[in-house]
Amino acid sequence: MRTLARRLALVCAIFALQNGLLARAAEISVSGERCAKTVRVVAHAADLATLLAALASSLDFDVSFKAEHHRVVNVDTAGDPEDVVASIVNDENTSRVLALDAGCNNRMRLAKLWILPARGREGAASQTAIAPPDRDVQARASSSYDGNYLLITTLPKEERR
Amino acid sequence: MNAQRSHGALRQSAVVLFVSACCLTLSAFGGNGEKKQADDAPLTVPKATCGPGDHPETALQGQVPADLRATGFKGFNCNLQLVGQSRGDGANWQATEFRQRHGSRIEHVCAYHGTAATTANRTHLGVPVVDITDPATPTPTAYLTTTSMLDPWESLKVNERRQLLAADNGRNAAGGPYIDIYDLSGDCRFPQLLASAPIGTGADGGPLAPILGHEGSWAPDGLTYYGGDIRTGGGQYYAVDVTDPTEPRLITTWKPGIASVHGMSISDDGNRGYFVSKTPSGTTGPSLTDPAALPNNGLIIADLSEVQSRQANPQITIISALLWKDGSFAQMTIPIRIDGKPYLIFVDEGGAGGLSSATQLQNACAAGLPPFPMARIVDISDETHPQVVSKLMLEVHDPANCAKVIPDLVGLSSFTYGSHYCSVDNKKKATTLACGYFNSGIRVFDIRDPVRPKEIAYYNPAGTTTASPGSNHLSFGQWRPGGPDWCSAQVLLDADRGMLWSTCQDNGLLTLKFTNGVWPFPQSKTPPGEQN
Repeated sequence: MRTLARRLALVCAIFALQNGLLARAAEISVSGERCAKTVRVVAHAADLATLLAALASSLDFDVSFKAEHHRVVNVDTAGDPEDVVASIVNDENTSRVLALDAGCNNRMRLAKLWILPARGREGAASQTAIAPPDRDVQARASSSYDGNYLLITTLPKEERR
Repeated sequence: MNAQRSHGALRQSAVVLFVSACCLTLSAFGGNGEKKQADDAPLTVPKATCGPGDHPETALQGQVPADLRATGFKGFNCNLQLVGQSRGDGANWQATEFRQRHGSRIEHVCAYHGTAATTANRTHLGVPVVDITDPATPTPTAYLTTTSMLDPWESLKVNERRQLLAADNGRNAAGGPYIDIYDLSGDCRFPQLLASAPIGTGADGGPLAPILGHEGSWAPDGLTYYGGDIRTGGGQYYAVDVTDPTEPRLITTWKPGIASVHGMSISDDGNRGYFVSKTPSGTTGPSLTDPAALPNNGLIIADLSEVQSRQANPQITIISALLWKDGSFAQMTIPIRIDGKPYLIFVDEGGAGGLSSATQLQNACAAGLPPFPMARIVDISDETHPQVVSKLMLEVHDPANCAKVIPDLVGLSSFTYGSHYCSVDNKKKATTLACGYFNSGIRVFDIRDPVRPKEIAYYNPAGTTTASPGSNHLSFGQWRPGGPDWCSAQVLLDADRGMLWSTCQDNGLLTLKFTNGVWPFPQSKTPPGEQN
């Protein structure tokens, strides 16, 4: 009985320790607001989407996270808000809309940020391929050249089939 | 499914050079592609009559002479005055617009234009969104920086019906398979991204085919976006299903088989494509002096009905092609109607000899052909026999003026006085044509009589003394301090305000007002989305 209690205590301790670490990992601090010229960001083992959501909330921009991964970010930086955001998403496939904000002395600031799926879907395979053209149709065109213009006319559609 | 069709027809075309070898009948009758010009129609377009306060051209129509360039070109204007400018990082090939309506009132006029893929010394990358609601104070409101928007080359186009902005990945002719689509319906000053995705990968739900962006244009219904890829396999056109604008899907690719490809426009019903057959890159085209060397540059009218109706394995067939040697590097087309009759605006990018290297210019002049490209008007009322009815030839294009023009070009070597992109006031009832003619600036023509077009105005901006880092004029090594600009984009007309706007590569976005009552004509209207 005592052994079982010890084991339970050990499991609880490990669980608590893990929770503590996770709580520590989830630590995100953003100091800055909508028109701020500088922002300070401190994050440890933070999920990128969560960190960007925190930044978007503080700096008042929209973020759309469409990437399929959930990268973990460690960052401790300060500076121009657009530069800070750019450094955090440097490895991502992103798009930004910068907009003139009359409420911030007409400063151009980040209005929307998309984190897109990674580039490189080009390599995916397909069963469908483009077939070569039908040469029968080509053989039934006529053309004439008067020295200035070459006119080529094919047969009407109903006669092509 | 018909097996023969499925294997036979996706890139359907009449490969007409092949056909020509088989079927060509050299006919001697006069002019199968050009209507006999009216006796009183001049070879070059009559010059605009300028008003007080203008700064008219001092040499040939369209020419910026070397002595003016040497001292810093101060610009020419005739019946057009500068109202506003947003130079930014400069511009490159394309401009398009969207007018946001609130009921019948226009709430915002939004301008979009391309910039080069270059990054050095840039303030902002990508496509600037410029609010030109007040044309005196054009104001950037956003910058679009998705893959294709970093350099959309000649593909940046708005579809009015669906209120979408799209581009493919041109990127200095070295792009990729991406197509980017933005929603403008909420607030055109802040476009919302719907897609930035590669097509032709197989993963998009369509066929597998390599695609490299360059040119592009919408079908008017906004359900299909067509592209012109000059690189892959010597050039191919392609069609993209954008019914779901968040999931663009390649429908098919198509090689006309005559030469290479470039720009295109689509009929209102989506069933006809007005494609160009472009001189293959890296070549100067057929011999200008050998009558047996057939032309391969010009117009292709194609049947797109199977793409439009989304048939499986759609066939695209050539209805007719009209090819010529007095222009090359065909660029773009616009289907229009004048007094109810269908015509096509056709624009070349290269002169008879090519894109205007010294040798190419000399070859054209030696053959008695125009050294620089121009727009032309083609009667397409019989789509099996299209006929050129007029050419928008400036004096500087006239081969008779070669001796005055070619030696004077010293220091200029690409595109120079050639055409690139045009727009009309209203495709359904066209009265006015406005074009970017590179070093000759922005030119505006009265085309109410399509056989006898007349120039009514021009604006050729002063040379810039500092480079614009987002300009291809700079990245191509053609910018000269104080030299004439490259005006190469669409020109958007606004009859209600008697204005136009466009971009020139060094000067950026320009808003201009017509003066001296030359425009609009009483019948001129500029409904949204009907300019090109």
